[in-house]
Parts: sequence; structure tokens; C-alpha cells
Amino acid sequence: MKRPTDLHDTFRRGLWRDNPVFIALLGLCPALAVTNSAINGVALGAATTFVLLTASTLVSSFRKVIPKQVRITTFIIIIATFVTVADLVLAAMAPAIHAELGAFIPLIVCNCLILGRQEAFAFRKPVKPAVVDAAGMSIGFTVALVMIGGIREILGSGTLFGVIVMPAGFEPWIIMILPPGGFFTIALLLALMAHLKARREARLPRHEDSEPEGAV
Amino acid sequence: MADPLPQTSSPPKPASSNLTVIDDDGARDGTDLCHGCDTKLPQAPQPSPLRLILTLGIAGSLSGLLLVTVFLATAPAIERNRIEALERAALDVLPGAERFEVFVEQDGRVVRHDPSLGSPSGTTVYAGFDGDGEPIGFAIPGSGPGFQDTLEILIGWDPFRRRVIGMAVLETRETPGLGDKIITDPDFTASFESLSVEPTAVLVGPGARSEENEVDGISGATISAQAIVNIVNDSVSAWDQRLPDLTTESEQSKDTTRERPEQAQ
Repeated sequence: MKRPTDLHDTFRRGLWRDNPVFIALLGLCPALAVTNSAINGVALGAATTFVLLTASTLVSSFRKVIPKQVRITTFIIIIATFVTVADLVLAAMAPAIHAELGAFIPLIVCNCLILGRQEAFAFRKPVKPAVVDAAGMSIGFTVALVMIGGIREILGSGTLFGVIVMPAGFEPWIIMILPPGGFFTIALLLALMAHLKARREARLPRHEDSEPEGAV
Repeated sequence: MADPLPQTSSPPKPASSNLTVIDDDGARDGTDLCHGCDTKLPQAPQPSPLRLILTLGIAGSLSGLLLVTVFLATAPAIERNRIEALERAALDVLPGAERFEVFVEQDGRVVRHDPSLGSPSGTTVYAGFDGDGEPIGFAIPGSGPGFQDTLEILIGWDPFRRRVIGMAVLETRETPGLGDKIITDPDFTASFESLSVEPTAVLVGPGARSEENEVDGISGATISAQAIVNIVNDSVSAWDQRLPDLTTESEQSKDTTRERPEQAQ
């Protein structure tokens, strides 16, 4: 990279400015499906982080020997391999979380966030920025999942990370932990993000380089 | 696909082939000494088919090798977790049981599992005994269609009193907050602490249980609750005739004082 600050910038980009869920709208299927509790968000975020980091490292390391014509297939082989590894390791080490996440671990394979980062970044960059990018994006993804999961858990079950946080008389809004609650929550969060972005741009009329990256 | 970084210096690419979209950014930065090096980064848009086959073949083989390694490394732990969960549930559905023996189905008969043969294969039934070696009953498996997916449960069956004495859900994808009340609803689960299946167990309204063979329903989870009741009826009738007689089968219970009921052979 040209300047040392670029790495920092790459990291922050995924974490917030180009947040995969809130800005780029990538990986919404798991983001909506598993987030009926905050702990599920943490678990799926951790599994996705593992897969994205290993896939980006490998794709970036071998980007010179992978012919362009078969790059997508190779990405998928790499991603699918590490998703299966994550699935087996979780089943062996943390059966309770594995049972909770159920079908969503195998579905990390088709999370467009991961494939998108390989195509848009890891295949074109040296290993170091690719790893930094993967770390930023996956932490950003995890933060988003925990935010959605936290809001849905508080309103839908009256708890946060399993700890009761709402007053005793609180009647849980069951719809928040059902699928519609996921859509309500993400719509509200997107509106909030858009509002914050509009305010920031109003303050800084010419904010360079604020275009979000496109989806795959 | 937009490029992640602004590319002010790169000339517009010919749009004829999407294969030309990818370029090597490292080379533009002057950090890649091998830019244009034919062996590593072919400039020709079409590398030989052999190279494509080799790339995918090698990637696939390495992937397979890694997966087999991880699978073999984790398989014992995964199997142990599964059996532990099953055995925990077996003790749960047989109140008072402190140890159990494993029975397996063999040629249509249910026989004591010989531990020297290793882990049992096929369907297992657990016979639970209390601290004095008195038989309590069997934990028998059952499965059937729920609201979303197949439900798998374990049923505690007391063959002496001919009652279901416990029920645990092993596997469920029922709707969170509604269907998963089959695990959490106290009235519903309490119905299985002493439930007759003669003639059959039936689901009644929430809190309406008055007979031995009635199960309290769950409002909002009628289908899931009915599914559990159906599985209990089916499994008990399927297993009941085949279960061995614990009072004669078990050497620990030779001196049992528990009365045997009129036998259903």
C-alpha cells in the first residue's frame, strides 16, 4: 500500500464506513435469520470471521497462481472448505452453540460478503491489506449482527445475552424474535445509519471517497 | 463490481471481456517485481485448459485432504457430544434414575448392548435404574413431523405402571417463541410426568387436563404440541411390545420387590 494510514483506513472502512450489513447490505440472509438473540450474533460473527480471514489470506497468497478464468470456483472451494472446518470444530467444541446455529453455519458458504471480499479485494491485494480488510469487514459484520440480535432479544425476550434486562411486568414482543422482527430491526438501523451519514455529509460538504462498494 | 480503491491512474479497460477487469494492483504500485512475468501472470487472456484443470484439481485435492483430517480429528468428540446429550436426556426423562444400561434392537428383538462391542450402532433404548438397582423404566426414542422439521424426542416409559413418566425434546426447529414452548411450557411438560397412553394420549386445551391420558395444550403451539403427543403415542405403541422384561432381564434387579403388572407380552 502506498501510505501507512491506508491499512488503518482499510480496517475502518469495513468496520463502519462501508459496513457490510448497514452500508453494503451484504450477507443479509444470516444477518436476519440467526439474530433473534445477541449470543447467536456473536457465534455466527465469529464463525464468519474465521472463514473470511482464512479465505482472504489464502486467496491473496495464491492470487498470482490462480488463473482469472477459474478464480470464482477456486474462491468457493477455499470458502467451502473452511466453512466445513468451522462447522466440524464448532460441533466438537461447542455443541450447544452448534445446535443453536443449525443450518446457518453451512450457509456461510454462500454469504456474499465473503465471496465479495475475495473478488473485490483479496484477489487484487497483497496479503497484509487483505487480512486487514477481512478483519475490518468481519468485525463490522459481527458488530452489526450483535446490534440486531441485541435489539431483537431485548424487545422479543426481555433479555440481553440471556440476562433479564426489562422490568418484571414487561410482556415480550414475540414478533421481534420471529422473522418480521429482523426486517423491522434492520430497517430501523438502516434508517438510523442513513440519518447519521446525511448529518455527517451536511457538516463536511465534500467528503471524499465515501462511496460504498457495490455488491457482488 | 466497484473497485475498492479509487483508481485515478489506470486507463479505461476494454469492455469486450469481463476477464480483463481484474488487474494486479500490486504491480501498479511498483511493489511487484514479477509484473509481466509470463510464468506467473500470463498476459494472454486464455491460459491452457490444462492449467485451469490443474489449478482446480490441486485446490480440490488440498481441500479434500484438509477436510478428511479435520473430520477424523473431530469425529470422536462429535460422537461423544451426541451420546452425552442423549444420556443426559435419558436420565432426565426417567426421574430417580441414577444409572442406565444400553439396549439395542437386534433382529427385531431389544437386547442388552455388549459394551465390549464398542459404541452401539442403530437405535438405542436406555433402561434406567435407581440407586438400589431397582428398574425405573425405559428411555425410548421417537421422531415425527413437527411444524417446521422432524422432531426428535426421548420418552421416559414406565412399563410397570404403564405410564409415560418424562419427555425431552432432543432436536427441534420449531418456531422460536411459539413452537419451542414444547420445551418450556410448564403445564405441557408436566403432563408427561404421569401420562397414560390408553387408549391413546390426547391433547386438550391449555390447563384443561383432567384425565390421566390428557395433555395440556399450548396456546400458539397447537401443531407442535399435537406433534409431540402423536410421537409419544406412536413410539410407545411401537416399542412397548418389544421391550425386554426388566425384572427378569436385569441381574441387578433379581431381588426386586417391585410388583409386576399384568403383563403385556
